[in-house]
Amino acid sequence: MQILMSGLIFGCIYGLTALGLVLIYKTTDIVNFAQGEMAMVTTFVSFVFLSNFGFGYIPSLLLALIFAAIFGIAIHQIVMKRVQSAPPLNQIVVTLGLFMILNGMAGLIWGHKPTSYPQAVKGDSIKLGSVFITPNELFILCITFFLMLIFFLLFRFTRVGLAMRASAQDIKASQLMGIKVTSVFTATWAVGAILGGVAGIMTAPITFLDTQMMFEVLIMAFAAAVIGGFVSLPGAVIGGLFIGVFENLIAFYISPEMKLVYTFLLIILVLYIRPQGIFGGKQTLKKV
Amino acid sequence: MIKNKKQKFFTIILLIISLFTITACGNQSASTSQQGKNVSQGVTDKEILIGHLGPQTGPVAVYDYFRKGIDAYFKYVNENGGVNGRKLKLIAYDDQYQPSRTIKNAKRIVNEDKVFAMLGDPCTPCNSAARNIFEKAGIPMVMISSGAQQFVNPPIKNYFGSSILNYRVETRVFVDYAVNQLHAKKIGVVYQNDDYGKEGLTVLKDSKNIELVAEVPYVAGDTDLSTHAEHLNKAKPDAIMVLGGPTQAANLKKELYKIGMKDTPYIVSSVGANDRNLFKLAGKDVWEGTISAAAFPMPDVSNDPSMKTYVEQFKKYYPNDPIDGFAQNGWAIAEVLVEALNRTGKDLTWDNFFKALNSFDNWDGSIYEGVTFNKNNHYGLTTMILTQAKNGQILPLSGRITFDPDTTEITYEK
Amino acid sequence: MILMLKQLGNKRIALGILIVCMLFYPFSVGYSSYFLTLFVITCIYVITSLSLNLLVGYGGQISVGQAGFLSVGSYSVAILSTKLGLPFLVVLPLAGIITALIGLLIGLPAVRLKGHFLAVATLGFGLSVPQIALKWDKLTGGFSGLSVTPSSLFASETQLFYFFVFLTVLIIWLINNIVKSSIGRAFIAIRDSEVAAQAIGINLSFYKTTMFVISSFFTGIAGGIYGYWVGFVSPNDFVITNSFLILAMIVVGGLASIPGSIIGALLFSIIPHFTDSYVGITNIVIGVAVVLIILFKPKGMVSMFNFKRNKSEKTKKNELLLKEEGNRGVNI
Repeated sequence: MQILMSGLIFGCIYGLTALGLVLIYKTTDIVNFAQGEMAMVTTFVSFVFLSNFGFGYIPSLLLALIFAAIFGIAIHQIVMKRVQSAPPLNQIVVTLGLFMILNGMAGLIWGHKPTSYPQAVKGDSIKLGSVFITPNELFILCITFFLMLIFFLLFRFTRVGLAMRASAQDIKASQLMGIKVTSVFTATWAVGAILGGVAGIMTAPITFLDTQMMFEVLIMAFAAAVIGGFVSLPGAVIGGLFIGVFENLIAFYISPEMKLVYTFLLIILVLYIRPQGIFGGKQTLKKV
Repeated sequence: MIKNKKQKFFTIILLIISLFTITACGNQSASTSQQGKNVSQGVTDKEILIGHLGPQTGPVAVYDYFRKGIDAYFKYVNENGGVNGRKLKLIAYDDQYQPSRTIKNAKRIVNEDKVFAMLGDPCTPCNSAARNIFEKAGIPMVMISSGAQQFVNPPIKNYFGSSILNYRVETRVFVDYAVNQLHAKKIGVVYQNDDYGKEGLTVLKDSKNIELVAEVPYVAGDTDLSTHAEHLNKAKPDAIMVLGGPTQAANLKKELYKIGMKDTPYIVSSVGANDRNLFKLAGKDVWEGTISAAAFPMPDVSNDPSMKTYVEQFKKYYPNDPIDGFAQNGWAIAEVLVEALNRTGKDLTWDNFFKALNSFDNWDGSIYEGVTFNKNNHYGLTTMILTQAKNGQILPLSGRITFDPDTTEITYEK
Repeated sequence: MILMLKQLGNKRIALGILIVCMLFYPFSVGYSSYFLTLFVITCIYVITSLSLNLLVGYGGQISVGQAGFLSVGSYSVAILSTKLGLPFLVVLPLAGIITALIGLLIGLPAVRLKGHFLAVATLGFGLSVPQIALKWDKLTGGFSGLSVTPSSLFASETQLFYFFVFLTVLIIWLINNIVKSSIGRAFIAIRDSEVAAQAIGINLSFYKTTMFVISSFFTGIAGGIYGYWVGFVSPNDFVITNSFLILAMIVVGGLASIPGSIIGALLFSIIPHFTDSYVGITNIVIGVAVVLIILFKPKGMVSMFNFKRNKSEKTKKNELLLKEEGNRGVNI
């Protein structure tokens, strides 16, 4: 039971990161490989507020998220806007380039030594039945589902969500309908960066704060998003939970060294059966 | 049209040729002027070139602190006049912990930069990959940062010691301690499935006086160790050994703490424990009591004058970097190198340098407790202490422990 | 006709000059072991990025795990040469064939996947290979790696160098021919529209699997070259970041362009030479180069060279088409 529980926690972390990925992809059609590094940078910024300026947890968090929004906007305005209509591979490689730049810069600025990062909620572990859980872990669980729900509703039922979905469908048509597509995209990048920031700040107490902290998380989040179909927000979180739990089961019962291999085998198997992912809609042919 | 096509190919060709000639030309100037003196490559009247290959970026860039430590000591020595009137110059390339990059840079540093010696290269697989090159060149390899057996036993002519404790010797000391002091019989081990873990694991498997009740590997870079904790919880060992890096050691202890295994003795290999940062990573209460080994006492409890200089000087050159961790080892190995250079004197040839290194007999002028080399012993660090984490400090738990490579016996100082 | 011959001649001359330069390269760097290594590693990336370009640029199949094939190739060489003691001339092609078989295994499920889904599948492969190599230590030696028995065919490093350069040129020529063959045209048809390709009778799954097999075969050979040149293989040699870099090479160089891949591979193999001596900037420089080139030259660096040609060729093609149509019209 305990391993299921910790699997769920890691699943939430993957899910949170995957939410940002899916949100950006759903609206702008770009797979953002730099998502993890953007989250890492935001987390470092929040840590600077925490330790160098001595702000409290909540103010640092808010300031960092404001930074994340500006950061997301900057990345969209300076770089991503220009490749909006480029072939998908160009977009992917640009985000890979950003990944390398951000990772390298963070290393130069903040060094490579892992640092501790405070938990959102402090306190010793509680025993629930046969399972131990810390208050912080409960908090992570809650915030993941809360954010998932919020964004799911936002997409479904608000005008902003409608604009986002429309922009994703067809840029030209949306523009004709009076949607400021570029602004919608910029906003998406801002929100995506904020989501990433939250994910990073939730991850840091668990994996410790260093420049590499989001690398594996990002890869798993990517896998989670894909299992969930890449366009479904609940799918991303459920995909994350699925991977987190599966990983731990493999690690416990089969081999801790091979958990990544088996996890990807499973993903390939799932995709072989359902090439569009579990929550992906019907496979549509993209127009050329 | 033909012209365009021609142009295209010629431009491409020109580009390719020029790129390669540029790369080739860049290094022609670095020729050593030996001026008839009896010195080896990399030594001039004014300078001694020392090389270092290690990760400066990438997943384990934390090993770059070796370079920072070395660099700080070199600056310090140069400010005080250098070695026999020669200044030390460090040439370092980034290999990102990838042997495929190390190979390329190893050839560069030996054949193009022509350094006199290599100092403290981290990364066991990179070292194994480059071993051929360095062994063939015969260049002094001083205190590489790998505790693997293959570089010290049997001794290789140009390989001298390691900057961190030998993985196997260290594990043997842990087993002794667990059996004799903790009266533990059942041991649970969590190890990194590479050189860090597996070298020590062979020792544990060969030890007849203990029973291994759990052997759980993890992959370098893993952060979720909850299943490992669960395995240990099921096996109920008398003592837990962790052979691996600091983040995993901290994470595992946190998990154990969470599920209530607070009192089982926790022994961590020296690469994963000698850092007060761990109290922050794992939590102060959580890390309390952790046992480990070290080649020197931690800065805050050390009386070594050399350590005091280190703390002062390193802060000066790298004000933003923590003094704990691998920078100490970097500083210490640079001290060993400089001592050997001093002992060699003016005629700085490789053979003289090897002779000087072989004359180290438990030399304690560096941060290290003692450094020993002779013809049959290239371990270097054969003297260590056990440490224990207490109240935010890492305190010595034992007197000097000495390993004798000839008899493979371990002696304890009371 | 004469015009075409002339063109061909020029191209040949140009290539000839390039090859002569390569032959003289060892002299020009004074047989420096380092520069020879730099060149061979560049060759390895040239082959790898070409074979990835075959998959991605010509075939439209994304692979984010190409470094995995490199690892398989280099391990094959190590295992075959050291554990089985097979000779060089058998080992190197076998390394390609073994890698091609793995490519077949990956290619089979990949046939059903597209875009990001395929990317994740190949990403998984690229991530898994080093971990399997670590775990399966009976075969691979685990963390301590495996040494490769050097070949007795070559007396010196320089001879081996020439052989590998020759091999690289041969592979470039082969890939060039594959692209121009009916298989290559089928790949391009699949990339442009799967439905249309199917409609004209192209067997999708066959060709997609073939693509993976060919691509991994050449990458395996490149891995083999690495193994023989360095003489030692270990799990960390080619990791997922190398896969990312190879992908960047072909996009930065130019998709679906053979000179493009070569330029991309050259660029990213040589950048570290200049940046490695400054602390921690190599990746930043590469990242900046990637972003800038894609922003300003979306078709890759190769478009700097043949911009005009494309234009003129297009117009020429159009004219030809018009003419043909006209002719046909007359005939009918």
